[in-house]
Amino acid sequence: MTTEMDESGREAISALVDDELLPTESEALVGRLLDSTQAQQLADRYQEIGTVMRASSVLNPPAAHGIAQRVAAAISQEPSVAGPPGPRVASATISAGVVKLPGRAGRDRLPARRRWSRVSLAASLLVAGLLGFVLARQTDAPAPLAVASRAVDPPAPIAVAAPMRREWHGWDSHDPSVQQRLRGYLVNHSEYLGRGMRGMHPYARVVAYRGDLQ
Amino acid sequence: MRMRFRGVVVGLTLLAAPLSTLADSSADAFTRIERLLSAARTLNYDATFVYSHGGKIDEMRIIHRYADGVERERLVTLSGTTREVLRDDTRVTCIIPDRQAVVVGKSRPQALYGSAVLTGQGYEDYYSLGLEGDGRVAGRAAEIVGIRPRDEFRYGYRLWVDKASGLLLRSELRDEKNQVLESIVYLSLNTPEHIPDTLLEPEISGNGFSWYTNTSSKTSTTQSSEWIAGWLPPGFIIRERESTPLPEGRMPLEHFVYGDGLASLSIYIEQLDANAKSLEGISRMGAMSAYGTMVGQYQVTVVGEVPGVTVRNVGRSVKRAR
Repeated sequence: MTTEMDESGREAISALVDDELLPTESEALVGRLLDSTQAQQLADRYQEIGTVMRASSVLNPPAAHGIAQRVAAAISQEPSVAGPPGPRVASATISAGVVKLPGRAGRDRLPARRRWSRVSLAASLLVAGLLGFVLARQTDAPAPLAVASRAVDPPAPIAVAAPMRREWHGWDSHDPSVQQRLRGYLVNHSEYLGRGMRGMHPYARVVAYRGDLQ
Repeated sequence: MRMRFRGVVVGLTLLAAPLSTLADSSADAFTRIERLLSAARTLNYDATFVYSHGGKIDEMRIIHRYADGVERERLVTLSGTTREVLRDDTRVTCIIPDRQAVVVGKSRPQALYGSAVLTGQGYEDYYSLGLEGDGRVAGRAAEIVGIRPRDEFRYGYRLWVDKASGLLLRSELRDEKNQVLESIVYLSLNTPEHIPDTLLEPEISGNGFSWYTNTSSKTSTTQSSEWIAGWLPPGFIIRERESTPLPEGRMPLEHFVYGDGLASLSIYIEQLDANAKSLEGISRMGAMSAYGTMVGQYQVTVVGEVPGVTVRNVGRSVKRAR
């Protein structure tokens, strides 16, 4: 795998960050990423990014995009770009979710042939962060307790080979006309919930929905 | 030989005991859920609770009366802007003062849903039930019931059920990572013999508000339509299909409701005006997920108390059959 990702790769990774992929899809994508030795080196080097992403993205997917954007922004502000990870390059550090690259003096000593484009490094950082995120999740995170152990037949296959990038939005972040439509759906659908787990008070959602106020 | 036989018996007994315990726990949990559903429908109660969702907290009061076979219920916010939902066996009325709006909808027949929860549909293929110990909420002793999904297409629940009344005292809705998406915690619960009409009347008159009424609809339980959902989570079957005006005067072309006995999702299909904004991608509010996509000039929206991957996969599979 090169660090120059194509569009479908970017969409797939974004979908992974957005938690929009099924476990089987995630495994396939991670497998592709892990096929790259370079990516593994990057993953080791920028494991910290994964830690931040994990902390930020599990409950708040949009924050993960923010981190990716901050990573890219931090790089774009650098007058020159560091070379690929190697022993002579000082480690990147992370403060409040922003990656700080090594100092300019250290980078200037690097051979020009080892300098990457800003875009490719941003992509590498994102990949590395994702790998760190995924690896850390695989190794550190407790096993999910909510899903019971017995499996059911997998669903009929649908087109998931090239997952579309879809950002998570709060319902209150849409255009007012879209919010209005969603609110109507919420009220309508709640009646069906109400006849399900009756004690759960589905209309609590209706009266709590403040999206139209914003 | 006798010793060997005795050893086999002991071994089988030891093996069977945990399985038996698991089965008992599942059956007991199922009994608690049945009791919870019955109590929520047939008891009088006046309670306050905190509803937590997406980092927000709202305090609410619910008053429920069951008399002469008729239910009436009133839900009102106690924090923030006052909003109310009134419901009886025929209609649901949402009063939204900050929008100067009253939305009146049709109440669904109890027979369609109330007794169908987790029954007769092989729910054990999709959920595992169990008792998870005792708890205490609002000063009342409770039993904890766990409902765990067996796949990633639905959420799990933990329910604290009042030992005395069978009513819900606390609930948590958990995602596939076992993180709580929504919770309800009761602060107080009273079960009076009688609830006067005055407690079921709205605080807000609705005079001068815009009223949006939607109590007429054509419903069926067949999927006969020019629209097809090519994929549904295992165990989800069609519950209802209707063509009905939605609140605020809009006309969806089709509305399908699917469920597995516990979770449910709706597919709304409506034709948009050329200038209308469309919903694209996934949105969520607490445990509610929505996915929108355009199929020609039609907005397809999937809404449900299910994970984002579920609404996304269903939404992407919707197509016109002819």
